[in-house]
Amino acid sequence: MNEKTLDVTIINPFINATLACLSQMAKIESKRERIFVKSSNKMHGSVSGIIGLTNGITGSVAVSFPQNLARLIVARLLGDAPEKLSDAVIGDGIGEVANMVAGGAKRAFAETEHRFNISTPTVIMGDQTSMFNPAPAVTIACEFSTSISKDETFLIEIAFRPNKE
Amino acid sequence: MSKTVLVVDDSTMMRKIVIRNIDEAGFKVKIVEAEDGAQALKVFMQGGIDIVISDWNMPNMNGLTLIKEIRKTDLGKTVPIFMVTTEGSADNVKEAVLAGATNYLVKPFTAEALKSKLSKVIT
Repeated sequence: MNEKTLDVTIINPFINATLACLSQMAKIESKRERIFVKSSNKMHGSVSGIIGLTNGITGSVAVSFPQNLARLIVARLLGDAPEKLSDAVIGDGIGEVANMVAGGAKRAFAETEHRFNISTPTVIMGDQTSMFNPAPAVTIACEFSTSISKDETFLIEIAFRPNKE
Repeated sequence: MSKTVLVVDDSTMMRKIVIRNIDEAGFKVKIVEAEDGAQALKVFMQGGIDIVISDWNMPNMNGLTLIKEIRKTDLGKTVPIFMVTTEGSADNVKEAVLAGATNYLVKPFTAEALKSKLSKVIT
């Protein structure tokens, strides 16, 4: 047999890092709503920060926010009024969020077989954006609600290649 | 006389976040910014810097090399240097302290944590 196994617990350190990042840096409480295998390439929101992962885990981590929620979060990070922020500043801020989420998970995996390195963040903005992860990568996603925008959610997604058993 | 803090990070966003936290903590300091280690070293060598807060991963010269270079100089033998970075493994902390870092803060951090560490050197 050459079946591929999927260790969904890989997402847990990324979830913890997301909660810590928003709570500590922006004083925003987030709540994990659901974890699922993501089959669509379409990004959840119109502002997404993406970090490449190499070595122990090969793939990427993305954090994706609706524009309004991204604006509110970056405003909290900077202590600025949301309406004052340009798209460039919002993009920078979401890139930093992605960096801290990936960095936090990297620390959690540091002493394990999944130990990985991370790239610098890339941010994509726009409606109807998609991200393609070459097969055989699978994508595990976690949707979060927040204390600052009840009608919007954001997503983190981890795309990685399953281990062969 | 207020102290001068050199904030070093290749991310404009992260420099702004650090500076906001310093400001909100109530420290009355002058802020100077640099976007990588090489630029920071040039600024430092001009004199007048009382505290350095630096990221680790940066282009041109990273934070670890910056610490080593500063510690080689007469001006930099005793200046407090804080490493603020996502690189937070025990090995990373040990490497930074051996290079001469005064203190270490892992991103993400709370405003209270930054204030606590800085209050030991800003009076």
